Amino acid sequence: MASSIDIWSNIKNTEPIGEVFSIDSDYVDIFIYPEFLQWIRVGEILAVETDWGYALCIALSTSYRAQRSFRALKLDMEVIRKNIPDIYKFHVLLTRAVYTSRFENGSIIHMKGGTPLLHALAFKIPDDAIENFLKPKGKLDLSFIRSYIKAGATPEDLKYFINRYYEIISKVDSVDFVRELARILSSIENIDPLRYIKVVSEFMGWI
Amino acid sequence: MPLGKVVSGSLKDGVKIILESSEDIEDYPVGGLITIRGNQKEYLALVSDVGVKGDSAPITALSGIRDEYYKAIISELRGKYSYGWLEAILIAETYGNEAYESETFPGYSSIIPDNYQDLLYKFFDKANNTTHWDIGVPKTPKRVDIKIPINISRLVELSFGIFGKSGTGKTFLGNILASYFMLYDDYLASKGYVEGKPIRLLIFDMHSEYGVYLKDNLGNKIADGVGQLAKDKFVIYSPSKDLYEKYEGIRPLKINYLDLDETDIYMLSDVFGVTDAFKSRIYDFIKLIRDKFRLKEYWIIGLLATKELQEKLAKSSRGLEILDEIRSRSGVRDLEGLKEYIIGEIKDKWGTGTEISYRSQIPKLYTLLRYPFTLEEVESPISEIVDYLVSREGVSVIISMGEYERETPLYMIIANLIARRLRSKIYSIGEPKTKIVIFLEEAHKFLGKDVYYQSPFGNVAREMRKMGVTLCVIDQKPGELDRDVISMLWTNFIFTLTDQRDVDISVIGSPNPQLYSKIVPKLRRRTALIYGDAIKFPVVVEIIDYKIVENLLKSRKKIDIDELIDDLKEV
Repeated sequence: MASSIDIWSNIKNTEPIGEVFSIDSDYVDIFIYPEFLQWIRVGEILAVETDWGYALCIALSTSYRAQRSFRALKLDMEVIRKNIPDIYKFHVLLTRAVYTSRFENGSIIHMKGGTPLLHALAFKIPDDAIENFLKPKGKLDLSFIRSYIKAGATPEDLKYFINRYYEIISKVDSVDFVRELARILSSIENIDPLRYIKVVSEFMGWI
Repeated sequence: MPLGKVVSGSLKDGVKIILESSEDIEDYPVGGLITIRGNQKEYLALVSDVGVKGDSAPITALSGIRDEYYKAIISELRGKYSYGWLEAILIAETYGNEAYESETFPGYSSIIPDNYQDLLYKFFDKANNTTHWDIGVPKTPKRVDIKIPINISRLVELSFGIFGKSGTGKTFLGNILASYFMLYDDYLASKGYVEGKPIRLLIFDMHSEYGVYLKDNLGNKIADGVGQLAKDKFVIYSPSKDLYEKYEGIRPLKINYLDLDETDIYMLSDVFGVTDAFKSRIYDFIKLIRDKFRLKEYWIIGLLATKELQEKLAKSSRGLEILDEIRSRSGVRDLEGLKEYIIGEIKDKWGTGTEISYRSQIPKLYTLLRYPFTLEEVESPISEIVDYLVSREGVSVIISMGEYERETPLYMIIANLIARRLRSKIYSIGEPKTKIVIFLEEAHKFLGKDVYYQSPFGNVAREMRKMGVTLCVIDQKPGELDRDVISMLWTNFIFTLTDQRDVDISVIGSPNPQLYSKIVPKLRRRTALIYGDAIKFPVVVEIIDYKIVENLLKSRKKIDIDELIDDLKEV
């Protein structure tokens, strides 16, 4: 079984799914390569390469638009794909992700690090690295959720995150998970933690 | 990490503290001692009220969630949707290394430090087992193991009170304090009584828990009373044949009824349940018997004149002498005839109504005939008791009532007679060479509003402090004591009370009665609020285990004062 350092070190040997398009405060907008568009959903954790390691971001929203002007085609998708196979070259496929954590010197820290550069490559994180992300020091630490919610994640977005990693999260002691989640939510100003807890509880079947 | 922060309040109304969300409100008992670290000073405060302010939102929003998750969530959200608060009475503040009563208020956001227990020692002395003895463990958040001492050398100087409902621990505390007085007396003896006079206790022991043993609620023995543990320090008397025949060292106590005076009868009238009309005439009736029938010192025989008394008196030569004397003075052949003669006089003097009143009420006083009484001075040990108390070579005295524990009239008669004799003795000899502390249970019967100015104990309380006689007033109804008595109590031990009048009176001498009155009804058994001269600052403590004191008494070395004086002379 590979160590977590090996897993994280190998990420950049996998195929990038996109690259940094723009950065605005906590948000990293990643241009998603068209072939990966269908794989990237809200709640996905992405690793963006930097000189010192990875900036770790959680997908918050996606946008999909034409690069320049938009002209209506009035054709069905099959016809479009057949006649204009490179149509995606003229589109901007952006995923807005929230910069919550970093991988540096072999460990995960749930705090922002240095800013990635434009065009820095973005990678999906393999599922076997997620447990390390949830328990960076061996103990459940959901403090990244604080940054995610403060940047605008709604209860539904949090549900998508949990759904995305349900297999891994369901292996965590559920009482520990809910306690840690409640702890983090209670520390966030100007939100109603109960809305988040209720949505998560319903999703997880705790009610 | 602080446990809480000051948010508001005033010196008069107390300080309001918000607890940190990590703190569990259930760790903060009313009556608990806390310390507050202000900007310049440290403060000592006593928790007077606790509570939680909360929002119902989590309870409704999370309804239906499984219990284990609910508990986990609530434990984390508690601080967001609720907070625990304390109200505390400011007691003292530090000024340098000294502590004084509070006259300033801790600033906004002053903290309760998490090492508050270490700070408590800044405010209280430590026991030295000479003048200061551990009296109890203070209530604190999370139960800190420190003990608070009482200054016995101060306590002996001025009257003090022990109040509380039945079964709350008054007698345990009384035994502990009596033990400490005796241990302090040992200390004084070891110094040749240079630092203070010998201490003598006079304990009126209604339930024989000082002279014999302490009992649980079912009457089973728990521990020996102080009289049994320090036999060299006490002489125990009892009117109960059961006691003086069963226990070696307990001496019989008979009351010489000729020593009674009209005030004794007046004070007993409520206990006997006579009508107000009869009570209001008692002094007149006695005067009539004394003067009109010329019975003079034998007036009590006239008052209790019955066939039963006649038969009792006829059994002894002294009784026969008295019957002869009464016959010659009154001109009536027997006591039954004397009674009718008296009733006739009453009718002539005050009318039929009074005659009927006398006829119907006087039998209530015949209860006195059931008690062990004598008419011979030599058979009554009252003078001996008084001598023990006032002489340097004497001992302390316990009057244990034994089987008469529910006979309030007898208890009152004995107590009043001894008090009256003690007072007259002290007036005749001047200030005694001893300090005398009188433990008086059911004190309201002697020091109540109606009787305070007539009771011998009222006189003791008013006049004898400067002569070295003080009272330990023990009662479950302090509200019935005369206000003057309350104002004479310099240290108070208050167990739980629930009647508001009792509560209010019990804390009237405290620095902040309004706030302390909140605490008293909430005290647990054997937990007492102590305030006054013999303790540095008011405190709520769980009274120490009597076994500790029992062991102290058992391990004490008996001091032979003559040997000690000889040793000192040799030195």
